Amino acid sequence: MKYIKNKIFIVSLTLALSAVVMFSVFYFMGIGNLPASAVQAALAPFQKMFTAVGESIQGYSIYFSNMKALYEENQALKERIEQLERDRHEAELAVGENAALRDYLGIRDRYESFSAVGAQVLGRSDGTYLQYITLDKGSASGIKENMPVITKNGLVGYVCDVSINSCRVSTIFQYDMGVGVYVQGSGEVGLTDCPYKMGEMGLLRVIYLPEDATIEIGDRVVTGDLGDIYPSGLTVGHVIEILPDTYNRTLTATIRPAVDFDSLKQVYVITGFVEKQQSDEAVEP
Amino acid sequence: MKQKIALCSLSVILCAICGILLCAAQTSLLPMFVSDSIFVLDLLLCLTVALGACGGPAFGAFFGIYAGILADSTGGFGISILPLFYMLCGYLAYVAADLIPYKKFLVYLATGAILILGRAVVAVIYVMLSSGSVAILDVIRYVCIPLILGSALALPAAYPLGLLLTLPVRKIKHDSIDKIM
Repeated sequence: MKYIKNKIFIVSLTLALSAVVMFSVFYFMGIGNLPASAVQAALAPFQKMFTAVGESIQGYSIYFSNMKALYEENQALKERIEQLERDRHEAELAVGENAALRDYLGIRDRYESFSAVGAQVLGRSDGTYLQYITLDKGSASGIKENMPVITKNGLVGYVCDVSINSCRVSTIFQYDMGVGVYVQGSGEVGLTDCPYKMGEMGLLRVIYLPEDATIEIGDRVVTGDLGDIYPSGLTVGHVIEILPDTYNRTLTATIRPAVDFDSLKQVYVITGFVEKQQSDEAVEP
Repeated sequence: MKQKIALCSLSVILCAICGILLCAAQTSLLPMFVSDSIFVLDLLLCLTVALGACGGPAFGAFFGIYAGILADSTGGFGISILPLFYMLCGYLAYVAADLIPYKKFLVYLATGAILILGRAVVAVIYVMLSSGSVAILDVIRYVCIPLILGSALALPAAYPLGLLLTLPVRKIKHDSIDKIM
């Protein structure tokens, strides 16, 4: 009996009944949603928080329940990434090669057809000046002896030895390699020559130029039409000095090669070309 | 006296916060992991009983009203009887703990079990009032049994929470909010 007459019981019972009556009256008045809305408004942030927590837990549980599938997917993705990395690396190389090839369009425009193989310089000959270089492409890449080797700046030399996966190039500094050239502007024809002393300084000379030739310092020297190895018009170098021959009635011009042989890394081996003026006949060096 | 009121207020605030959190968890978090057709956890009822058993009649009864309003607001259908029912649960939990000179926890479990059954009956009444013609077996199968099972699982866990929330009050020398009032 004491529990029923308890003050707290009476107060709380009164409050509870009041709440029941009040909510019921609200309900019958059609405004029963008001108290519920107020409580819901207070609850909403917490429900949002718990929902986020629940979703996180569900995410983790899904993660762990699908561990094997995830592991396999992860492996597949790793392989895919490695493949893409390889592809990207190859694409970068191709872009670089493409940019260099684009530089040759000026040359290529002069020919009906022009094909070249890019190659890296693997080695250089001993000595103070560069007589030979070794490239990383050989007969497997379609390279043959006597094919001209160039860079975007000009002539490097020609292929003198070929193995299956490499080749040796005789550069324009080779002392016995005479390249038929002509001086652009004046149109005088000559032959390159490289005495040892000049080769040490990285220079060449053009001999047998006519005594009355109107050559000037800075004139460009390019490959001529004579000979089967080189396409015509490839830049060899620029005139830096003109001297008369001591024993002949000719002039000798000292030229600086257009190619920077000190930093030579990538070259192109011309595997075939057909000059426009003789398009009916293909030339294979 | 001021210290007693401060401690008592602390308990009340903690209980209010806990009530909101449990209500939010009950309506948002638990349904994500527990199928409604197997377990329905009435956490508010369990905490009401625990507070009644651990904190005295005022805690049980007043928290019961509060919990009833929360429960009605989130799951009621208009006619509200849960504030009254929860208030009675909280107060009865205190009465049982006070009357039966046995291990408090076991008394709490026994009282809780009976009150959960009562809650199941209230749930049936709610369903009947809101849905009209529903097969009683279906109500038992899909409403009563999940509610009884789920709440029975949550009941033991609610007791330590009740002890924790009423700790400031129980530290007061006279050990009961009744005497403060």
